[in-house]
Amino acid sequence: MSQLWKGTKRYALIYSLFFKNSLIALMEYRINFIFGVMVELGFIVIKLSYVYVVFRVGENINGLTPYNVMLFVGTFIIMSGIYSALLFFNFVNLPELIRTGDLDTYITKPISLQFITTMKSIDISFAVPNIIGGIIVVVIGWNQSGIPVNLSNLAGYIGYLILGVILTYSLFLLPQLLAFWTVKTNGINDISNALFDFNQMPMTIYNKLVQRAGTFLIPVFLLTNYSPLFLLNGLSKLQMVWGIAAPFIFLILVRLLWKYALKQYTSASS
Amino acid sequence: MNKYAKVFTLGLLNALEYRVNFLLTLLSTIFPILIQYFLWSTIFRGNSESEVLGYQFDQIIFYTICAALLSKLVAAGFEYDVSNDVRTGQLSKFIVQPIGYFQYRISSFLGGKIPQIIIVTFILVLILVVVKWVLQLDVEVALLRIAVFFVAVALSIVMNFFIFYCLSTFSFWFVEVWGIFYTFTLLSSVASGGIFPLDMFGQGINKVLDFLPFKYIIFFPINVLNGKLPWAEIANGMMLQLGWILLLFICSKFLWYKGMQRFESVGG
Repeated sequence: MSQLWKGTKRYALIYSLFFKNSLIALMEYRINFIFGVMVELGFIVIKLSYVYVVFRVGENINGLTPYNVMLFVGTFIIMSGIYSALLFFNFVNLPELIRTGDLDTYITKPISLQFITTMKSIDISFAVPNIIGGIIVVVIGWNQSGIPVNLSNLAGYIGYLILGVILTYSLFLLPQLLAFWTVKTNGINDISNALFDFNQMPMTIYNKLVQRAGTFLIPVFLLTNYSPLFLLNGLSKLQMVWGIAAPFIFLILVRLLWKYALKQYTSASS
Repeated sequence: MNKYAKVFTLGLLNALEYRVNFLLTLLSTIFPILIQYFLWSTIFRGNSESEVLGYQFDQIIFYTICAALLSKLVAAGFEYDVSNDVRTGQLSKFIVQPIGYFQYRISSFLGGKIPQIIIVTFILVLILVVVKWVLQLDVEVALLRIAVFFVAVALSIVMNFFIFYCLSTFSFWFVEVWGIFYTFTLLSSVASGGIFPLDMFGQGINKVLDFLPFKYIIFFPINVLNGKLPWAEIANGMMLQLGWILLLFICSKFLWYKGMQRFESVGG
């Protein structure tokens, strides 16, 4: 047990160093911070244009009021920020490490290879506008939907949000592992990013078949839909349990596949 | 003039080389279209009226598909090349040679659009055949509208060129410009009607958009095609497109004049 605790502490320390490094890089290239914020603001405008149109329509969408929809879109904005700030650039860089053989330098480090290659780059410029903007949208939606602010609601919302982050990590790292066999994964990148965008609108707008596929087969809807659905009492018992189990199942899956895939690695050049 | 015809051909050949890439780009628009399809089917199912915000279900789907195709068709992208030319000093090459940079850029850009126009036309005709009964247009009128639509699209391609040619002059004042270009592209896609038809945004926002060129890039050409606009307004809109092109042309000349005064030709 103390071994585990020590390991956790060590990795937490290393992660804080990654974070510090990213802040230093940010100070050095301030213009990139400004650009990152600008671009994300542009994306937020696009996301909010959906909300605006829903308000203009003014009707309930499958039982959801426009303010309810804000809860979903706000959560989606927050998750986009977390994904692009903490994970996205690591993931797209992984095939590059494999192709060039730069993975070698990481293999020699006395630290988990998966940890360092998938968590190393952090760029908070993408998170800042999304997290601030997303929280504002969620707070307005929460308030206007008349949902009480109590401990169980907060815990449920944040809990499913954190589970969403774990699932985002597992679900979007999986396709990148193909690079161990195919080297280039551009096409898959586009598709998996498109899947992420399916959370732009509440999952309840899709038909039963798409909802089931997006819940159990490729659980993209779990990323940002379960937090607001929890608040709106829209989760069945099965969904609640699956929402907790799926992130860990996929995390184990990606870990096993990572180990298997690494055996295929033959390095390059040199 | 001959040398620019050559550049035009080069742009065309380049686009032909990357035709699969363009097809994939078009394919990637399927996902946002799907999201809107499900969104609108849900909205229309819960609504007793046949129109929502002035659109019937088939009309809004038709609009969404056209807007996705058009936004890929008019897309610029050369602004990054301009920035590169300025930053690395490659622009000097054009200054000392008997070739105009502006003529070079527009010839190459328009040349590249030819294969894309052919691909998009093919897809549009396919869609039109499928939904023709939906639009319930007189065949003759429809054919005439399609012809006029292509003139409007040609104008909007030129217009978009000038907008981004003006934008590219940021490269003279800033070394790093990708954030400005990218953000501008995102915002202009909303403001031109690339995501939702602009009349859905209500009067307040449209009053602002009326003063901007963007709505003539996507929203206007589609309205020519789907029959929302009477002929008088189409003629009027095209005059405004021409007016904007002229204004943006003058604007770009001025900005480039100012920019060139700052150009230092780094590198060598």
